[in-house]
Formats: sequence, C-alpha cells, structure tokens
Amino acid sequence: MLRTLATAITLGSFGGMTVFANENLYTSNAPLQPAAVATPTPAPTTAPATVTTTRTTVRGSVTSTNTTALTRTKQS
Amino acid sequence: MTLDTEVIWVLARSTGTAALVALTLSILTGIALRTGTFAWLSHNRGVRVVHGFLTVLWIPLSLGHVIALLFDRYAQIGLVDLVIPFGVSYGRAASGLGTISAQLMVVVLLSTWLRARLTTGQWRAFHRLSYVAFAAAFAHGIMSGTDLANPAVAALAWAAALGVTLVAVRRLVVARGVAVSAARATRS
Repeated sequence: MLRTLATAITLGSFGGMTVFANENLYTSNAPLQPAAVATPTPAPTTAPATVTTTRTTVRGSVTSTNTTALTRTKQS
Repeated sequence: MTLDTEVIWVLARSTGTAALVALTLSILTGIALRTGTFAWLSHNRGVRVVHGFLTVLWIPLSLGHVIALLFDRYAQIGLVDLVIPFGVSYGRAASGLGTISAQLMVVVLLSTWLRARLTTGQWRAFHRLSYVAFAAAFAHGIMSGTDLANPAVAALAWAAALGVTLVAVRRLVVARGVAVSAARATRS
C-alpha cells in the first residue's frame, strides 16, 4: 500500500508537472526560456513615411586630360 | 522554435520536480525507519521496502532531468559540468548545487550497493550524505526553478522541505532520548 502511495505521489507530480509545464511553456520568470520565443521582437513605434532609394553609380575609369599639371611647392 | 526544444524544456522541469518529490519520499521513509513515523501506515519492514523501491523512481527521474538539461541548448550544460560544479555560466550557484546533489547521491548509492564491504559506521556516514544531497537539491530547485510563482508548485517544494525537516528533528529528539535513557541505565 505504501509503495503504491509513493508511486502515485511521484508519478502524479511528474504527470501534473508535465501538463503544467506544457501549458506554461514560457513563464515570465523562467530564466532559461528561449529569448527568441519568450520576447517577441517589438514592432517599431513609428513607421517611416516614405522609403527613398538612392543609387550611386561609381565610374570605373578616370578621365584623362591634356592640361599640364601644376605643382605648387611651399615657399620658404 | 522546434518541438524538440519545447519537449526538452518541459521534460527538464517535470523530471526535476518529480525527482525532488521522489527523493523527499526516499529521505522521509529512510528517517522513518528509525523513528516509526509511518507506523500508522505500515510496519517497519514495509517502510524499508518502500525506501529501497523509491530508488527505482528517483534515479530515472534524476537522470532524465540531467539528460534533458544536457540537450537543452539554453541551459548550455556540458558533460564536464556534471563532474565539475559551478562551471556553468548561467545560474552558476544553482546549477552547481544541482551537480553537488547528484554527485552526493551517487556516493550514497554506491555505498548502499557496497554495504557488505563497509562497516556500519562507514555506511552510516556515507548514507547521511543524503541529507546534504537533499538540501542541495532543494536549494537547486528553489534557486533555479522556474515555476515557483505557481502556488501549487511552491507548496509542493516547501512541503517537501518542511516534511523532511520535521521528521529529521523528530529523529534527533528520538536519538537524544535513547542516548539519555542509555546513560541513565549505565549510571544505575
């Protein structure tokens, strides 16, 4: 009888705790809870009114010139 | 999040709680062998049988708790942490107490299996480590348990501690009474 009682208490707590834990997967005070699931990414408070796309084209070559180069040296 | 992660998380909590319950019952029945606390339920031989039988319950539950935490990638507990306590980055003290409790219970189990090779004094000394193991397991549960906000779970945990404390105090009182009686008998 005592063995049955001990088994019932232990397995009852196991079963009860399994059901409870399954229903309360991510409690607020659970330190081991997965952060990604427990704290959903907050939505931005203000959405940007317009989205501007700027495209910059970088020229692949350097233009040449026939003008003589001027070199200014420091006057002593 | 995958289902596996959730299953592991649920198992870690349920096996941990149930292991503490089974360990509590094991300690209670062990102490009751000397005090007759459960005499109203069963004779001493029956209590002894239950005390031995409870290992069938708390060993797999404790192992399940440890294995679940080994696979829990949020707990980040490795095999080394089962040998060296207080090495886990998260909940260092709480996890370390759990490791110490598990290690002490292994010592108690080994001493029980090797009882024939030990003297009564040696076996008793090893077996008394189960009190320390229970205290460490309880502290581990209180410090790292995530469900203590629930009144039922909190009541279960504190009832376990209260039960063991009361029965242990009773045993101390009984042992002291026996010692006093023996001293009087010696004097007279």
